[in-house]
Amino acid sequence: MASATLASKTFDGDDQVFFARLSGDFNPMHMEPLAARRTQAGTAVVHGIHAVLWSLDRLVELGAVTGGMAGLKVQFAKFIPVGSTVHLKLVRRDEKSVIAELALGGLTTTILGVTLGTPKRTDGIALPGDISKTIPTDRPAILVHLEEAMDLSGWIDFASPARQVENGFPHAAAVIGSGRVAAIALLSRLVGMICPGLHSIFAAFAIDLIETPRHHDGLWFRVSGTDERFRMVRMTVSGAGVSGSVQAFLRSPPVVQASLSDISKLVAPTEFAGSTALIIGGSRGLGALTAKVIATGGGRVVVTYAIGREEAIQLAEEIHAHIPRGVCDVIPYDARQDAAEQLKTLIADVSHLYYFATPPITRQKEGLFVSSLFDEFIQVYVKGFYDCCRFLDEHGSRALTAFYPSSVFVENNPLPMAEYSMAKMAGEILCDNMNRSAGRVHVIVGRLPRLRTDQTATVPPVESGEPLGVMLPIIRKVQSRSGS
Amino acid sequence: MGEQEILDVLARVLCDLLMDDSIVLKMDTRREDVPNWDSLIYINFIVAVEIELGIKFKVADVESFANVGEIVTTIKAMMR
Repeated sequence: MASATLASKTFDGDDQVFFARLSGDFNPMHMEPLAARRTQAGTAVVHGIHAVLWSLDRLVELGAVTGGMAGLKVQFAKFIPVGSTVHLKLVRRDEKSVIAELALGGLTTTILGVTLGTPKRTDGIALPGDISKTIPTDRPAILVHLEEAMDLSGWIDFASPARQVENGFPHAAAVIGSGRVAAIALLSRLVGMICPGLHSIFAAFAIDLIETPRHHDGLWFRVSGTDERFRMVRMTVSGAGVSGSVQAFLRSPPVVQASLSDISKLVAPTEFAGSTALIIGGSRGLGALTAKVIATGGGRVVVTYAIGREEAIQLAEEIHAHIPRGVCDVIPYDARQDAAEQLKTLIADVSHLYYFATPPITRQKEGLFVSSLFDEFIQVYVKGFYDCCRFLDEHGSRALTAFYPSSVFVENNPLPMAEYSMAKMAGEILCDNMNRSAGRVHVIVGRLPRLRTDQTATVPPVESGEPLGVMLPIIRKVQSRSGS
Repeated sequence: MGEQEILDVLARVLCDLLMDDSIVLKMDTRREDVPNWDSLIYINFIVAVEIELGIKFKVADVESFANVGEIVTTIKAMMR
């Protein structure tokens, strides 16, 4: 529905730092790529409010918003990954309003509605609440639980002086005033650091611009409602010349897999003794769980990581600390790169391979089929798996049993997951052919149901299976074919 | 409320959320037929409809609605 692009911007790491300082929103989802990897976005994302203020600044600069503003309404639809380029498009303009949207690769990430006019006079409207109940500016993002959110309220001071805000968004500040720009920026801190805080997703806000008798440099907020079903928080905000409402979601925290102590109740200490398992993608999720299970059963494990080095090392330390004679080695491995080059220093004689390498599986995409996405999945799920098996077959002295984690999506074929499902099906065909060939590699394919991992933790929450209950029988089946 | 009245409420709420007055909802309209009607906005839509009509959907219903007609039918049953 949008018309031509008015302006474009690539948000980079410097932009993240700039806006975090300006707004006071240092949520790891924006600032720490490794932590952001474990969120629903799967990567560090741009502050939504930064994108909004940049858009507003351009709309004013380019003459789409002239005269004055009476209100601003925003819906966030999709994440903007850091490093990506968004395009500002003017959708509609009439004498009362301007509708614009931010697009990323043909998808709308943000819808903005500007009400033209002048700020309302609000002599009769109550002033913000008790400003002595000020939230400290120097504390990290708060971990709010939904049940305690209902009682939250408080005053938030501006994170930056008004002139700094004015420098960042001069055109918007010229029309609505630097105090109101700062107040809008502060919404980012409210949601990202205070309520819902650490595990938040900003959904929407709507504000009226108001003329208040007193202008405090800050914003009062109060939770007006919560919804357990959707983990949603609604708030009212007022102060610094704005008054309105905010909606946000409390997303699921990173998934914690079963502990070694839990696993040791189910797995005998020598159950997998004598085996050496290479676990591609073992730093977290199902890979880390598999490593714990095999190590608990006395098997030696080598876990690989593509990005999560610290997580992989933590896993190895946990195994070494809790399992007598536990052996867990850690090596870097990127399934998109040459397998032989990366595995040539592998000393262990591998008897079992668990291949959990995966890019983020849920993507923001335009259209039914995106060939570049399909190519990416094929590279990891088909070529990467085959090359890894071939190297181990050629360089090991033992027969290799490999586990290929396919998905029930091959059967269900959910519409938005076409490329993923197709690539997994191609992987299954490859595995079948490998089993029918004369090689020493035997592949066991399992179509896994939706399991509780970082990749499946969504808003709204979708029911997911318990990983240990599903994976343990599979691991036992794979390990029962011992390499010789 | 009749089907058309409910349909009108749903269309009004969605037009407001998506800031697009040209959206027309029919009984067989699916979410993918409406540009930008993504999962987060869908939840906002459901909550806004609940507030507007004074009802509360079950989560299972919200997840299973295949088209607008199923939402209308459920609302109609809830308001009997």
